[in-house]
Amino acid sequence: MTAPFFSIITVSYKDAWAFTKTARSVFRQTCDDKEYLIIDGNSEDGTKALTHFWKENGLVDRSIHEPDIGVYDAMNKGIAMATGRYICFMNAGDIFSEDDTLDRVKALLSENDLDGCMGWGQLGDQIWASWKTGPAFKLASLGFCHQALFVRRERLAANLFDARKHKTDSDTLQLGRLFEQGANIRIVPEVWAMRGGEPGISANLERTRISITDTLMSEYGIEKSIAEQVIAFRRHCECVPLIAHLLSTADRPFREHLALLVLDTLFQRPSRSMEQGDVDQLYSAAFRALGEHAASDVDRLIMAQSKRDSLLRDMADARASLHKDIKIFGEQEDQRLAKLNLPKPDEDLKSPDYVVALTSFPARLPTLHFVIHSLFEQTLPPKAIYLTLGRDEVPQRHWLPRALLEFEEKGLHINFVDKTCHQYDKYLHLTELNSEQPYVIVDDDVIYRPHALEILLTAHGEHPKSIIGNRCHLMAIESDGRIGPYKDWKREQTCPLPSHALMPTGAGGVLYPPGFFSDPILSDVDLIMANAPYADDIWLKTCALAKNIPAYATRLSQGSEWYHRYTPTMRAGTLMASNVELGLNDMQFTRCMTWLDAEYPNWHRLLTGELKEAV
Amino acid sequence: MLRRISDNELFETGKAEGLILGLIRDCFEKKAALKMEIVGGLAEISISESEPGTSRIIVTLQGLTKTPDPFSSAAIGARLMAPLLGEIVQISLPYSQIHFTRCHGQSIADFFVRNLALGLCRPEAADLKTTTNREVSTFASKLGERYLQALMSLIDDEALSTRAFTDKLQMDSHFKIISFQSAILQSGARDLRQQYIAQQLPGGATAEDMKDQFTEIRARMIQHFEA
Repeated sequence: MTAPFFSIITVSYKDAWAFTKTARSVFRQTCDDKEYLIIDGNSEDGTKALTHFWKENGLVDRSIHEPDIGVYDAMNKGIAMATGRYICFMNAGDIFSEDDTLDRVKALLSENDLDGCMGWGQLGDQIWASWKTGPAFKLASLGFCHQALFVRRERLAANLFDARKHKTDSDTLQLGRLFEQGANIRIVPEVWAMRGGEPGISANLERTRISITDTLMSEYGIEKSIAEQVIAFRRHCECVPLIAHLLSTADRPFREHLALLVLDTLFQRPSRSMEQGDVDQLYSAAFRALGEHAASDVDRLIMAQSKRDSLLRDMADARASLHKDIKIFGEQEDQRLAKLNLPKPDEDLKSPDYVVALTSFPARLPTLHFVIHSLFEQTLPPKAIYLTLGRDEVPQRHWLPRALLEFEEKGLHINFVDKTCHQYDKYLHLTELNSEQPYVIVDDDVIYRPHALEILLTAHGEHPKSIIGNRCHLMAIESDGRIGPYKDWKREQTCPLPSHALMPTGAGGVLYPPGFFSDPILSDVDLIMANAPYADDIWLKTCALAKNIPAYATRLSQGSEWYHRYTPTMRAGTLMASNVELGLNDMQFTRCMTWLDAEYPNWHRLLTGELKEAV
Repeated sequence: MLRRISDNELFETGKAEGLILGLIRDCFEKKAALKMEIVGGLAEISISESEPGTSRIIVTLQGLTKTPDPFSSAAIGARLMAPLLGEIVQISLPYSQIHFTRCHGQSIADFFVRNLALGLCRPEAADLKTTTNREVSTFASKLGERYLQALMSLIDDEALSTRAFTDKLQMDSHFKIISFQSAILQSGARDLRQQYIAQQLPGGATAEDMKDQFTEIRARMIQHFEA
């Protein structure tokens, strides 16, 4: 059997929800010439179940679930398990920048006899722009993004990561050593990887300081105080006189590596507060320290930073364009809401309490207040709307737009959880709110029509034990009662009566009857991960079938009546492509049906029964 | 004899026949040069009779600041790729160097860049000049794209059609990242790298320029941090 071209390795520990993103990114890759390996530190958070989901669906080839002594120990296990020609570590939370990234990297590596290649990385508006190959990586990261590094397996196997527990810089140390041994690894100035929002191990500044100090002392033979001042310069641009002095007096190779560190640091955020005189002094000292390589090194740095500047400008332009769109959108919304002139809510319908819940993520936050506004500007407005956000994506309240926070006075409750569970945040943390009152789930990119919630509640009054959806699809039901492929479903349908064949989708707003979420299966993360990790709608429908609860489609479930419009951030982070076009919905439904078969063997009779009635 | 045309007219397919066929005929009759220059947001097309003796194509590139004319003695591959490293702001085609004369179904831009590409293949036929004085124009990048398409139609090399080729070529002129299949482009890329590096040895005249570039790009980066 031929070895795969790539071994993509994901190391994860207690990070199952972040791992969902990474696995989907690997799934979306157009390159098939790869194996996918999971190294899990025996997490009890659904990681095993998610790995099983992807094994069942042919993405994950092998996995380890056992305790390790740290991330580098786990990465070494991955190297030992790999069989591919080139290895890339794409750890939990990280993703490839494009669906054809692996294909492009493969083309580059295939055409050239290289030991590896490294692209650039991105996190929000930060770009890791590597520009210089060589052993100086032992001293500093120089824009290195390990998620965008592909290295020949044999090279890594001969240079394992330093897995001692205190080490946080073993990746750059390893890369420096690879170059020291003459590895031919090429830089390609393209963003290949998007880093996860969750802080990595190097975010622990004190631990990192200890680790890097250790590396500098052992690799360059310098004193601890010198090493600490180098780190202080790298982090805060402090100790400029000492650094300038070292650039003139230190021995090679430390002097040259320090020169590269200095030049790289002058393009990092902390350097913005440096005096121009200090910048000039350091530039000149670094240039002299680099000797005959100075011109080509500086030129590479200039080229790389020019490209980085260009990318950042593109991002700034996109933000400005979005801002403009949002402004126009806001004006249109103001006009629409001013014209609404809503009548007083029907007294009979006004009394029942109900909960509206949603979740969001950073890219949608700039327009979320429009959605919330449309949910309060209803003919039967909710008393409370619950918004759940993960601190790993939105660390602080002050990240939230003022326009959103202003809705707290009207009844918006913002609920922070430590780590996001993505779309499952809509209900996982708030199930108790549903014990005695209906619970409405909505999306964060839809402007709802002013009577959307009233229509849901009216239907709930007529069908109190059913799930009510303003947008329902009619599932394709095969003769044995099993659910057919998603492509065969009929979109946006109504039925005169509640039906098990209707699949409510969250975008239109879905009302779940009191007590629906009380059943522990709804919140069982292992079950979710094993069956429907990417679609809460599918899992909720599966649970409804298990609990024999049909769905009812309101009159809005036709001709796009269920919504007014999408917000300008609708396209950000949409799941549509992988869920529908790449068949992820069908994969999840297949898993869910298998689970239903095992746990509720007669479930499909619900659907065959309806078929017979229809005939 | 001068025509000022807009962005649309320069790049629109089929415009060449109606707008400049007459100028091309005049150019041949007068044994003059047909000149296109990007000026003030418009493209100026004119017949230049002031240099009737010249028989060389002249292309002026904006943005190649490292040296007055780094490409004058370069190999053909380097000459062919040079317009992709700068921005084309002027092309002068003497009548004797206009070999692609078909205008039907062509844009004016295509007419110029196809003849330019052919001329650059013959060192005796074309000169490259650089300038730093022009304002940046949207025409220039579009002309670059059309020039790249002309190259693709003349030389079979998959590297030319890779994503973000011109960006990669910029980087490749400093350290090798592109593998060309065609020998002419492969050696041209190597020549470009050698010329760049040769111009930038420490202690040379460009160290100060390099410092200026460093300072300028750093200032741009700091602006991003402050935003």
